[in-house]
Amino acid sequence: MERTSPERPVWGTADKARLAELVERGRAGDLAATEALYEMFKRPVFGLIYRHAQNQAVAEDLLQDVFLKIFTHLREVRDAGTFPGWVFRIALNTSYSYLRQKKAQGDKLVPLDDLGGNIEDRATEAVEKDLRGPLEQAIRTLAPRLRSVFVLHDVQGFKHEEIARTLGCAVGTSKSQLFKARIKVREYLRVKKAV
Amino acid sequence: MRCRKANEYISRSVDGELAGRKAARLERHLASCGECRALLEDLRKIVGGATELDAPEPSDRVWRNIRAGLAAADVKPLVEGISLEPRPFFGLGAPALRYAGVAALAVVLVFSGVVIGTRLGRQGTPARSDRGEKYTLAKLDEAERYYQQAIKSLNEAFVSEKGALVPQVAELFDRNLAVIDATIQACRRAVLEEPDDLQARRYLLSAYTEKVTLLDSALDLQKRDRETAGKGKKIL
Repeated sequence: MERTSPERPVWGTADKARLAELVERGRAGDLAATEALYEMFKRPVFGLIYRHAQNQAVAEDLLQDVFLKIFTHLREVRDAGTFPGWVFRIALNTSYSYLRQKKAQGDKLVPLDDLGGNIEDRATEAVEKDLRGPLEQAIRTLAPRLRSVFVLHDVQGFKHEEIARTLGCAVGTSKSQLFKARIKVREYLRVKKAV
Repeated sequence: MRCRKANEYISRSVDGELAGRKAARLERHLASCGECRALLEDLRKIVGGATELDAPEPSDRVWRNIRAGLAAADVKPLVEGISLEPRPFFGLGAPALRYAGVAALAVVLVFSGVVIGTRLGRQGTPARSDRGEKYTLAKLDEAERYYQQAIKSLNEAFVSEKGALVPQVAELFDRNLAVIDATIQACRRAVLEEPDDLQARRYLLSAYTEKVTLLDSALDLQKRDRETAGKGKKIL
């Protein structure tokens, strides 16, 4: 899988004027503007979806679904300021929907990448001494809602106010869920002797 | 201060949100509580580690499919001067793989038609709704044909080099395939019993999607294995 530098938040740092212009042009059917919007949001949205789907091919399919939904409903966006929250809400709903569907199948399907990844992990285990591998595994063990809050806050740098708006909950709930998520991550890492 | 309160302060402290008297109270507690000190240290490591996690990157095929989906749905007329010239499909070399890629893309295009048709069916008046439903059913039939074609092509591409897969992966592939095929059979039976049941048809298409994804993943693994083997030969 292609990987680049750590994820950076889109929300707080996005050029608001540029975003408003792209949304406006996208609503008017400008394909270049929709591509620019996709480029602006693809990494954080994919990072979030990927950590729910836990499979590159599935996550790419979900990402495609998310952006098709976004662009086919772009005309409904009245205020560009709400656009990022809306994008992440669609991404989360799509991820949760996938997880429900997967659960309904009784987890009978094991993504081939999982096994491939495990084989590769074993080969590189000796050289991988940092926290990243165990931390990714710990994130996978979190319940979907806790995982969303942890990824949005600690991995992608969102503020609690932004997370609360996206998840439709109170700021206090976002904070308490983050704390629960961190404690569960810590428990996992302690068992693995990674901290 | 009790540990429970200290834990709350620790989480806020890690985020740099604790100052003044509260920070001082936490400091006093930490001076006498080893467990809370360990928690603070671990949470700092976890939060520091989380910011360093690599960002997974989607492949270029995602935007190509989105663009094709938008064009197929005819969401909006395009702005002048921007062309929709097709780029090479999936970047695959072998003709069988290219054909499989084209078939898979056709599935995306037709599925977009299904989505739009479903929406038309939902939004219209009763008369329009009937038309929308018929349109959706026709599109679902069309989608099923394309799915079957895509699966056939992907399967041919995969079977030609199935032996290249690691035995464990091949075994897992067969197991997953058996589950998906059983699901497809069950969905097909449901569709045959109730041909107008849109939900049953959607489940069937969803099962086809699973199969396309599985075959796509297997082809990716084959390609990766070939590349790895190629690099090995070069080194030798």
